Amino acid sequence: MMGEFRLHDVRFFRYMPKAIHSIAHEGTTNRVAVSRSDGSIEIYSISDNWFQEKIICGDAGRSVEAMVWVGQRLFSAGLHGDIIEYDMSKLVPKYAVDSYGGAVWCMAANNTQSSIAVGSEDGCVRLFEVTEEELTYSRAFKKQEERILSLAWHESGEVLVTGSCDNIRVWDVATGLPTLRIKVERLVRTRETIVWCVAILRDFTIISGDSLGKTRFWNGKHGTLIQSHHCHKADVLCMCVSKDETLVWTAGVDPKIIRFEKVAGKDDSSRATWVRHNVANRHTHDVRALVMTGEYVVSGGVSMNLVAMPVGKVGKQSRNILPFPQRRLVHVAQTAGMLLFQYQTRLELWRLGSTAVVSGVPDGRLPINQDPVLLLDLKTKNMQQIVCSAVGGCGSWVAYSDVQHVRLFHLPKDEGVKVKVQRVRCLPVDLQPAHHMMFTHDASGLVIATNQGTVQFLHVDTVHPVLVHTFVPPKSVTRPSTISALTVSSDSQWIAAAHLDGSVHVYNVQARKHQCSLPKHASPVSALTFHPTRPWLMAVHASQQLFEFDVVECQYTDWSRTVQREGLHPEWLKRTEVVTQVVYNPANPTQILLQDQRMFCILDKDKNLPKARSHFYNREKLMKMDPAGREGARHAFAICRGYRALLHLSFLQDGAELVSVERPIKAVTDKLPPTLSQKRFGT
Amino acid sequence: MAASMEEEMSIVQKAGANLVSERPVFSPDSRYLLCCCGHVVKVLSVASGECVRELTGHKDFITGVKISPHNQFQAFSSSRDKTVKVWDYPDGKLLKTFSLGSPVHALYLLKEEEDAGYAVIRGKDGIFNLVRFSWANKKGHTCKVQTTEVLRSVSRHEKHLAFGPEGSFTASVTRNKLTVLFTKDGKVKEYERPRNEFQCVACHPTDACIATGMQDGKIFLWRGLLQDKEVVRTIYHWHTLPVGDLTFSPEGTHLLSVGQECVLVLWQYNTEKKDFLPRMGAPLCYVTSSPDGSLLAVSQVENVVQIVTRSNKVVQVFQGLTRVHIPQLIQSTNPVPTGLLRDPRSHTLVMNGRPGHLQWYNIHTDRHLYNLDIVWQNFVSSRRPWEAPAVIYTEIERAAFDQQGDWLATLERRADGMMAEEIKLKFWRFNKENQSFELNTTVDCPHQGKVNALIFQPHSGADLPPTAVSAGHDGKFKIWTLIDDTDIYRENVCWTCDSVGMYRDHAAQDAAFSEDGSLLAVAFGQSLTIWDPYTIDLKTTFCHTFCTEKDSIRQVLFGQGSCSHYLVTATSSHLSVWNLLSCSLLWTVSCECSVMVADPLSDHMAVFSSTSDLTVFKPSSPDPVYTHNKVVSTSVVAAIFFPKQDQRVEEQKDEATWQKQSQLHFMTYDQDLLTLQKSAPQQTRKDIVEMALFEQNLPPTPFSMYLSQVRPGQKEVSSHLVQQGTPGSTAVQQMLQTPAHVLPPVSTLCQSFLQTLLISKSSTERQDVEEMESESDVEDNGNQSGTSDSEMEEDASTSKQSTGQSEKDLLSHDQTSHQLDSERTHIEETETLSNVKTSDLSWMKRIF
Repeated sequence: MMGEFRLHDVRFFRYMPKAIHSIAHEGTTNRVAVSRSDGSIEIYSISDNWFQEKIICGDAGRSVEAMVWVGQRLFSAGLHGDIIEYDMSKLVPKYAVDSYGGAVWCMAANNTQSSIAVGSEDGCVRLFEVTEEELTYSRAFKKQEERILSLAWHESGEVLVTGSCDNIRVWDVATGLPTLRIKVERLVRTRETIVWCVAILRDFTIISGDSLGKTRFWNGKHGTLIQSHHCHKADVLCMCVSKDETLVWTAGVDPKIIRFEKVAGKDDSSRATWVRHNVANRHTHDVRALVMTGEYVVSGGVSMNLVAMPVGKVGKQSRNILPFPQRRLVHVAQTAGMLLFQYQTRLELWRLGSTAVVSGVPDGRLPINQDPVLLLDLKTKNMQQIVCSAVGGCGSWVAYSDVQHVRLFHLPKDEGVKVKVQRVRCLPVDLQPAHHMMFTHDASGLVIATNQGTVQFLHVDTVHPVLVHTFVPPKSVTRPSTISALTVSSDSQWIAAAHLDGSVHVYNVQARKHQCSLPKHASPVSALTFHPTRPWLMAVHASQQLFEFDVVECQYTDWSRTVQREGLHPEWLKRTEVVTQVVYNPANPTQILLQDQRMFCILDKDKNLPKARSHFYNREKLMKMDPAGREGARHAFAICRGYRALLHLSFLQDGAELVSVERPIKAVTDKLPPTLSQKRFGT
Repeated sequence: MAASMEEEMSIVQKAGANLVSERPVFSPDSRYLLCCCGHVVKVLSVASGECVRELTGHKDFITGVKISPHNQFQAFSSSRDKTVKVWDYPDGKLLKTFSLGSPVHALYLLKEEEDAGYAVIRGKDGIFNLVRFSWANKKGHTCKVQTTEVLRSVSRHEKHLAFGPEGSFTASVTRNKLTVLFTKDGKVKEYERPRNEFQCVACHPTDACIATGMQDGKIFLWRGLLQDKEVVRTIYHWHTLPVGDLTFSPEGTHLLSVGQECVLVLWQYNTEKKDFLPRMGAPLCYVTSSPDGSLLAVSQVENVVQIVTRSNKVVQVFQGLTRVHIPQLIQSTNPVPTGLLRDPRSHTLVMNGRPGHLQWYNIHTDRHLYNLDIVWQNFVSSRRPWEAPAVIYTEIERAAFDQQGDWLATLERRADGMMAEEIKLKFWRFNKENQSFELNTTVDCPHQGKVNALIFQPHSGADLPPTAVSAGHDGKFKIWTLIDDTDIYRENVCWTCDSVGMYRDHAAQDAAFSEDGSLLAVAFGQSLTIWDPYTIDLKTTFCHTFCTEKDSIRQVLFGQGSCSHYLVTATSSHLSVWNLLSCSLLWTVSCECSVMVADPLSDHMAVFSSTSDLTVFKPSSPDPVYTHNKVVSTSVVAAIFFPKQDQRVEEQKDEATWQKQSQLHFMTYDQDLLTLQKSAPQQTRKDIVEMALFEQNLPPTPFSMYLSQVRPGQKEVSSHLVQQGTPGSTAVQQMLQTPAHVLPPVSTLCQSFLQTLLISKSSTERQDVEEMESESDVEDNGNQSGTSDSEMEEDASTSKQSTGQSEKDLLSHDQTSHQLDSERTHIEETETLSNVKTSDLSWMKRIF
């Protein structure tokens, strides 16, 4: 049996994700950068099961309209008029360069990645040279009247094509002068046609998408129209071209993603034609960005989720990545029964409701006799975005960090509903901004994963908090990479930090030294936890592998060895979601709770692992089976599916109660702006 | 029943052939349309709408017709009689016959192969195969050709196979599979759509592109077939119902699709633009483009072919006998529930037509006259199969005319299984002014449940009000009579239920009146009851005790003429004749009878068994006059003895004795109207008459084209009227002979020209005065001017009408009634003014 739990089904976490504005793909390490409307940038690693590696927090005054990867370096530009390069380990802007032309609408790097062309509001294309250290302004092209909304480099690097209102221009990069101007027709004489996206192929075929909903193929040498497809009902906002330049995808305001394919003629003499292939309807709202990654077409837009469609017909699965960060937004004060919700720029502390009824039917609802109470609503200074936050187990300590500072608050125990908040002001000066933080179980210490890749242990005190030690990864690691997961054992003796390069380091708090490192695994760790009583560290990787490591003995536990020997079930490894959280059941540590955004699973170490050939039943299927066959089909993984967006699931103090925080997708989509109204047959 | 077979008679189709069984084809000059109609190919003139030629010679149904791509005056036709025939279609001459050895189901000709064609034939294992047959080195009029198999297991419908540009590939669809066979290397590619069914296929004329229409209404365009990569499939989805037919325009710029939505959709190739021609009236089944792309032929399942220009204008309509197409009737045992009726007034065939309509069809001229809307409900195209419930249409189940054709009674019923049945009995009165039937009385729910019979009482006495009888499944028969319904606002008559009769509690199965209308026979279960229709007295009862319990009477008929004292009843197992004078059973035979009809002009009767065996007999004797086993392979659903048009011109001596006066027509389950004829037809009436017409229909100049449209109208006039000559024709001639540049201004000519027109009138006056002094001038004057005026009008109206007819659209109700109207008034006029006419002749003689 999975066991009986009382579940707090929390749905009052009103986190609102943001719309996707642009997507950029980095080819060598197969990563995708996704920018959202609040200026934040998320980095996904496609090869690691679409693991969300990093989040670069945005700023109120910063918009990201275009992004460019140059090698491993990420540049972004937006309507604020700056081009920014980011520090990819600290996850903060490194420096900003003025675009000298106002708002930037589009940006593209040439094939050799030596220079970046920026199209801006004043109608000028400007070239910036990428040097080792910086981005330097090179020169400007001849000015045109209309703002430049889209641009694309030819592979040779000698020709550039730009799209703006009513015009498509082809530029000679050497002279900075336009060689060709293609005028795009208007539907209404007074309303200009906006060319939202352009692309140029090796054979000088220009593809444009405009506000009339037309996708057009032009001869880039003569400026003549080859073909025009009126497939979209409204503006075509984005397009992407496959590497071999035989496939083109377009998407726009009517949320269709249309694939065009180049079809060779009957024989060699006849001309190849571009043919509409199939139409995908994956988004409910405007698609703002479309990127080809080689094996996937990645799209995102106002509907906020990131959709990856495989290009080939067979093999890969299509992905729909939820807009919620794959990290902890909800923290539980286990003994106090409180929840800390982390929004973009504020924190909310809630006390859970309770019930007097002792037991009920399975899957039934219990009546609530005390409603949940909002205890605290804490806004950040200057609307700074929160990187991470934590709450102490007793609920009397709250901490958060933005990109610059860690802030600590004390909430003295009070009988009344009203909560007093005291900010602890005199924090040690060498406390660094955090990427992850966590209180120890007795709430006496705060463990911080800094943006330098180190771990700091802070002794918490209302008057004078002391930085106990800064744990640095062993010397062999020259530049520590960003920490992706952090945990501390319940007796506060061990701290484990997982880095994005796949290494996991365990530190001894009392001895203030590095205890050991786990054997390195190729894919990064997505969730970490310590056994409640033993010095066992559980690590779950983005590749769905599980390891249990004895940090004292510096070896894998017997169970973990058994798992590795027998291998995990293919159905488990095939799952698309990354486990975001792993917890031992405090009442029964043989049970491990694994959670991702669409399901949770209770893994019972005492039970047999499923055989690779056998069926991998989930809980719903098991319940439908007759009781005789059920016991035989039962295995160590008890999976509970059916969640649309499960943000958090953990045990409360005694292990008999569970808290699940769900954000119904419908509540999110209801807040979105209205879609383009389209007639549907039969309505 | 001893078979007294006189001689073998053949089954022929004289009128009402199915024009839309196969895809029609245009002649290369787009002037003619070739349609497969049963056993003949009709060559229809697009300009005039007339059938100019019938290509007769096939002995079974024709399955396809194609124009030879190498000789534009040759047409190929394939038939189930195992032959392919080559015709010189402008002359109607049979040139060659190729025998293929098994029934040919589809025929394809390619431009690339001059002496070979492709056909779909059924192989020995029952699978249809595409074969190639070549007639190279074959001499002679009739020759046997060898077939070589090209592609196995194809569908037998013509629209399920298409050839690519220059014959580079062959695309064939069967149920869930598209098979493409490449000619060059013989490679085969197959594409399956397991959850969808292919309905039709078409190939682009120049690109390597296949279009397929699917069951769920999608159109797939398959491209990139020649590449090694995955095929590119583009979906175009407008249709909701299965796609009926697809074709590309000859230049390849458009794709045309039709379906049950009654809409022709024109898709612009490779862009997303589409154009519609909506409200075509009936579900569409085929579309063809003329070779120059200027015209489209759209076939409707109602047996109509419309010619549409590329500017979406319907310019010509070929209307055959309207076929019933609504699913609820087609799936029932009888698609024509009203049976075949004869309108006594216009001597035309009346039966179910479009949904909720009755149609009038002239069986002698093979022309559809008009549809009469009975139920007054718009036609709604059917729903998608998975969208329950299906659309239920109100259908006319019974119809009857009274003896003079003044009254029409119709019974409509709508039963969808959920709501209460809607049954309406409607009485329609013939309006002489409008020449159409007008609704007089509507009776809601005349019977509980089905109505099994609806008949009018034949009148012997003129002063009796018209009477109708309906017999229902509720065990009642009701007598309806006409009563006066005049109030202070208007004068009116209406129908009301006069009396109700019942017998025990059996359902009334059928009712019949004796020839003089003095006796009414109503069948209740196994009992046949005879009533006096005036007093509703039960006169006598005949009981079918020799039949089994469940074997109730299905049909009752009184004998005609010398056999009018006999009463014939049909149960499912017996045919019995009762003598009314002796009130006894005369004879009975064991015979399964499904349709029984009596000849109104002789004492013959015809019976079709459920296995389609025909027996013609006289009620007086159990010996059959004529028997014909297995008339058709399907069942016969209705029949009628239709009086022959011209009794005097009875030179068809080889006609069977029982068909001397009226011809037996019967309708099969497949809605083919057939008849029996002795020996094979030599030349039908049409061929003789149309010889001249064909010449006229070849317009060499625009002016003669105008003439060809006018002439038929003039002919019609001349048949009724004495030719009068044009007044002032000499003046016109003079004017036309003088060169235009020496002519004085028109204004000066005008007066003298008008005077020439007037002279004739004054001269007639003089004539009349001279010859007939007894008549007063004034009266004669009035008469004369009256006649000449009316004749002029007549002339104008008829000619106008005929041009209108040849030029355009539907033979609408109004128009035909107008024609009838004009003819009728015309006859009346000729009669009343005959004396004046004779006098007119004299002055005409003098002029010429």
